[in-house]
Amino acid sequence: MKQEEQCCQQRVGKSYYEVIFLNTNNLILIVGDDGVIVEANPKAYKVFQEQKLVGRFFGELLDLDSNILQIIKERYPFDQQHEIDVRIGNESLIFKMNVSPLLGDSNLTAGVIAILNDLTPEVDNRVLIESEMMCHVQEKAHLDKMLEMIFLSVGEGILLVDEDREIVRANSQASEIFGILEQKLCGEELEYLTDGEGMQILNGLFNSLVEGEKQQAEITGHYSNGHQFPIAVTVTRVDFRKRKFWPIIVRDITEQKEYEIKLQYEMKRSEEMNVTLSNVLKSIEKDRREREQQVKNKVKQSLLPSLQKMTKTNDLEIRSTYRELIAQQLIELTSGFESRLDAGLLKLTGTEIAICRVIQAGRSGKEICELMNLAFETLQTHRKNIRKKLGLRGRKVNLQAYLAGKNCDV
Amino acid sequence: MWDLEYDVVVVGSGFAGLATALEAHEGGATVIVLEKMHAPGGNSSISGGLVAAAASPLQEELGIVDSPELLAKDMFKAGQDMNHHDLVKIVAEQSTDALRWTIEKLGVEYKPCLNILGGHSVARTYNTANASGSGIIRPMLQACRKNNIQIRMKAMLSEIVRKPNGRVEGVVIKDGYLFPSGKSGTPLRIRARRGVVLATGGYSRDIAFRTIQNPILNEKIESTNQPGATAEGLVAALKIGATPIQLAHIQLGPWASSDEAGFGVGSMFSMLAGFPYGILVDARTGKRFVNELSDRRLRVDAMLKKKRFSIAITDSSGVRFASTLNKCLKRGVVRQYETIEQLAIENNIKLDNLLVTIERYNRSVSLGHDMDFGKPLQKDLQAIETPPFYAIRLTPKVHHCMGGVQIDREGRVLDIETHEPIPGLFAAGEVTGGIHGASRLGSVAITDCLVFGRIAGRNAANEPF
Repeated sequence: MKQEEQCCQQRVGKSYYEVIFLNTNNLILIVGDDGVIVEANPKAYKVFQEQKLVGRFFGELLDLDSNILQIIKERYPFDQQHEIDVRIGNESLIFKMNVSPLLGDSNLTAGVIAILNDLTPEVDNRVLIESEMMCHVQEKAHLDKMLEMIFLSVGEGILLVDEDREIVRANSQASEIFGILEQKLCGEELEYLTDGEGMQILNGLFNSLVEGEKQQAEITGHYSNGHQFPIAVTVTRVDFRKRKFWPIIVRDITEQKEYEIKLQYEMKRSEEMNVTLSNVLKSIEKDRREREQQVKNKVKQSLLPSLQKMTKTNDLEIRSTYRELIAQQLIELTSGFESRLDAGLLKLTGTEIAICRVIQAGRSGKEICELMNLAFETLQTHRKNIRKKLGLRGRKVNLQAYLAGKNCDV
Repeated sequence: MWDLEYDVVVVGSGFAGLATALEAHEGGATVIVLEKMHAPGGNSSISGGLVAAAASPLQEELGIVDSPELLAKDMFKAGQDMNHHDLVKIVAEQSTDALRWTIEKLGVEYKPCLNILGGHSVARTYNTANASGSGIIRPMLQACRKNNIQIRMKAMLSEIVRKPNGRVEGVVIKDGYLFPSGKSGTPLRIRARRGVVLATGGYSRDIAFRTIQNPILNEKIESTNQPGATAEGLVAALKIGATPIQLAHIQLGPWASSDEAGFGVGSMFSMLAGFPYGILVDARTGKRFVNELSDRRLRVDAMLKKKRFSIAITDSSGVRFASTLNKCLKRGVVRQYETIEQLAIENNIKLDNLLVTIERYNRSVSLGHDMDFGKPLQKDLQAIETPPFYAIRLTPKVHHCMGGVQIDREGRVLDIETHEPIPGLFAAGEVTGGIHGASRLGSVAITDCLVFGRIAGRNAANEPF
């Protein structure tokens, strides 16, 4: 059947709403049972500008996934509001669609009338509201940014921990301390950053702190490469929207600890120094006493015997030798008690030195022989050699008296 | 002339840089790693820790038939055959080797299951036990510490020193650099006796650079990357004659949440639950519009055409592998609903359409094939019908730069004039280009970084001087 004839029949049948059909702001499409549009109002032509409407598939025009009217009827039940998207050229429009059965001439009984209401402005309005919302969000974001700046510019690490012991915020200092980028640190479990003991201490603080209270502790921190280091934490509690949060201020105290250890070492050292000094003083005192004793001994053992011997003898030569000896002994006593080594003593052999020491101690010849397991003749040879080396040969000087003033610790 | 001297100087401390450093050390070289940020690890440490390996031990255990050839084929398909075949072959062939290395040498722990990611024809993706790249980065850092490999933080590459004879002899850095201040830091010259290895990553956060390469990716588009993902390393290489390759190929991730910044915790939810065990729906129409397991580029292109957000929907059976679910719920990134009605109302989605969409999808699941978009349906897939239901609102975010400097099979950077290797300059990881072509498959980046990082490390240690 020709389309113009159809249109005419149609017009006669529904002339009473012709005015509405022509003037309404809604789009009206009349669709035949084959799913093809048979009639469209001027508004529809206006919206689908430059497009042929009559003769086209209704489903295709409105992007309804099917051209078969039966399927469209199922998908879009009668007398309900349906929101559909239609692409017209480059534009996308949204319509509210109402589909009704078309009753009338026999060949159109299965057809439908679709009334479409352009919702695009409303949706656009929705978009506008959304963008206004975005503005508010942006303003809030601006405020957040300001807070963020403060958060970031603080010199110490800050971690914000929630009830799940999860880090919900972290600043870049904290990120640097633990070697984990902020993007990763946020959302990380707190336990990653410390050991079992540290976690126990922190949990203890979390549980005991009341809002606003502040506590400090020193625990072990873990760097992302497994390195462990001492950290000082200051924990506070903040309640926000019925949830508890604990801001933790973190400081890497490796340097401080090292300094402390160094300081302790220094203190220990200076203590040791004090002890040493007092020991030195003590030993000086001891030395002094020893020297006094030595002087006493020397006077008793050398000077007095020499004097005695000098007074006993009448031999002038012997007297003068003893006088010289006493003089030398006196000089040595007064010359700072320095036990100067005698060049002569250095010439002696080990055995001779040993013999000198025993003579010096005032032992008799017999005693020396027993002590050193020597024959008396051997001792006499040693004595002779000693006297020779010390330049005493031919001089009437008692070896014991001579050695009394000497240092035999060669 | 030089302030410091090492055999090998590695720039960047992510997967590629640390793999390089460890291998170079193993090869007997003295090594320093330079990192411009105040903490090591870069994007690698915030990534999802997904590692693709073809013909892996777990695949054998689970009876999944796979091969390096199949992985390479998948890579070519996603990369639209713009990939350099010889490089792809190396990544695919050495993928399981690299995975084993992380397990045996580094002690990395993985979950005992495999994931299927968009664009892969089989499940071949391992995931670290903590569902994060830090699960690999930490063991790598520990290994560096054990081997006394120094990682110098706040050390920003400012120049690669290439001599008139063509050889790269070292780098100039800004020492004590405070990101992102261009004025901070003092110059320090570091000699690399054997080689410099560039492992500086991509430029997803370098808005100026990426907008030049692709004007669509302006400042309005977010990124999943950490803020240090900028182009200076790449630029330094280009300045001394490295060959740029496919710099405009910049990938957006289709799985990132619009309700949190960056990669966050939502991305892993979408990858492990929303996409494989749920549907991706246009919030405006309530209809599916793309194969949820297609390559990232296809998904993103489809999402960008939508006027409202896209939303991934799944149910209680779909979230059983979503290891970040609790964190997602806590942060409001994923929301939980008792009914689809409630989900539709709160997200302002046409309920009728959504119900039809879910019903139709469920019919596909029971049929065993996707009637609408050809999504590969896994054997353990169940209909979306068991409450509670979960939804995540998504927005594409700049994620990965396929382009970079051109390297050869040995990880050597090629000269733009001679097409020959620049002596003494190597590169690995995201700073290189040509491996992934037009689009990188999920979970192949870590594999790529490990494989070429190790190659570059070994070769740099053996470079004569």
